[in-house]
Amino acid sequence: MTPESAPQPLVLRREAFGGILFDPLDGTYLELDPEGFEVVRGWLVDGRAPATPEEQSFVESVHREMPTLAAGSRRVRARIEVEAMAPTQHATVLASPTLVDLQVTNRCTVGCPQCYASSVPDGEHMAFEDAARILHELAAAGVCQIAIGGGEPLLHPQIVEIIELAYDLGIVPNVTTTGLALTPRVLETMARCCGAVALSLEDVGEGFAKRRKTGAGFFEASLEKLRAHKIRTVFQVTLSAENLPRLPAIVDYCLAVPDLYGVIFLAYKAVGRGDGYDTQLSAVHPGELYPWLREAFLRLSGHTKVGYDCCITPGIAGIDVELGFTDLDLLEGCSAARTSVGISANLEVVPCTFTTHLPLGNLAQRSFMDVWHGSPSTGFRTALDTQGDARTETCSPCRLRNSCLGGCPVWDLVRCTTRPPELDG
Amino acid sequence: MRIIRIRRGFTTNSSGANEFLPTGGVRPTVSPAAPGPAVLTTVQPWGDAPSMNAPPSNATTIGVVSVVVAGAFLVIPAIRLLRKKKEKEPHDDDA
Repeated sequence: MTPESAPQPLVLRREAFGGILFDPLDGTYLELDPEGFEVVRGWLVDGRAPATPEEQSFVESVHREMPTLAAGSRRVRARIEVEAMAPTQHATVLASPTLVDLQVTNRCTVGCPQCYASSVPDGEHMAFEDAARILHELAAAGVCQIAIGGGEPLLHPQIVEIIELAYDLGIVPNVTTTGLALTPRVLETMARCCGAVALSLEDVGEGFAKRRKTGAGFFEASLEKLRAHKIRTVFQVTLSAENLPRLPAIVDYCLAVPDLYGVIFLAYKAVGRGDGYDTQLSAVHPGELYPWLREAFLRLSGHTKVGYDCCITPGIAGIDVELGFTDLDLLEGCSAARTSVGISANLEVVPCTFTTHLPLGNLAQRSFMDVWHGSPSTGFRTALDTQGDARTETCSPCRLRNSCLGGCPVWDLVRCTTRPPELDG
Repeated sequence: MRIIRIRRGFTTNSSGANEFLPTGGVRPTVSPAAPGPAVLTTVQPWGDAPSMNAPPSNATTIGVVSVVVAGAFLVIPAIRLLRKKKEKEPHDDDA
């Protein structure tokens, strides 16, 4: 494998709304309308030059938004003949997910008290043969990225092979780790293949060790290893009612880390071993929650990328306006079984990794695409759509009602933000 | 023809297909600028997509399980909505 001379191919996929173009070089993802998709398809797949000034201008605009296209000769993974999903009233459902969370093991020796996966020292690894088969299926389905997790994924004896195989198949592998087993070989592989690597950070100072048994010193040593190998590093900050007041200190810490790729805010879910350890953000009045998040987002946005998990969307409505974004449809709600899905170490496909009690199908018995299109998946989407129907009245004044989708359909994670009127534009 | 949505960045999070706050939104795509030459030279198609109508293996068993699970998916949000409706009623009365 020589990634320098052969970068991962672009991903081009037809969808009901048109299609997707994804560049693994920097993670840029474009959704195109039908006419735009056909122009890009003709250009990239068939080698057809734009036929009209309008088409030429469109191709130029794609170049502008995806400047890595100009880096040189690129291959294309094109998935054109795709039967679109049945339309839903509120939630866009892709013909296959763009992101898959792949839990390669349930083994972890750290024993953090808030672990949602309830990982244990003798947890099972996903067999490499199963992981390889699944990765081939995901590649055939046009999946763009995977989020490799666990357990501690680096404890998997073939983690290097899994990361390399994903890369070779054209899928961007990303990893979340506690920092255990960051060996030179693993670090070299991550630097060569991974889009980004995440470390979890729920508190700083003395509070860190209460949540992360590895301790703050180990965290900082892991961070330095990643930085030394120029690996794009993300901090994942899971927020609960308990650590919300610690957010300014966490932000202070993040601001002191140079070259940080991003900071992601996640809503704490009371699942697994973490059930009862903390309190979900739904216990916090939205009028109190939003200022905390707003302050953190604004302070960090000049330093690094700022992100959020889709579970927290109702709690940040309005932040897009505050940060100057022009699109009213940017804050998206639950992506589970719509644009993303999880796969547990026991091969069970789940809407997301927090909903292991809602299995969609097991990949030991069924193909990935069969599970994606099967009735349990459809039922989950129907429930999300039904929720959208039911919230029509309460959400009708909100400009985000068709993208927020009313919050997590399973857990009561966060209450809708009470936005200042001027934010509603 | 237009770009509907743009997202940027690598996703490490299980529930974050739209992880990073974007730096831009829906954009008009027709510009007066002259087009640049296409630089993509190699095509590596997937080939035919798998059939969406292919029956699952163990279809009968899976079908029964699917109906049960799908029913659960419908019941869970319904219960949540009923609870929230109950919670909301006193508030409405106050209003």
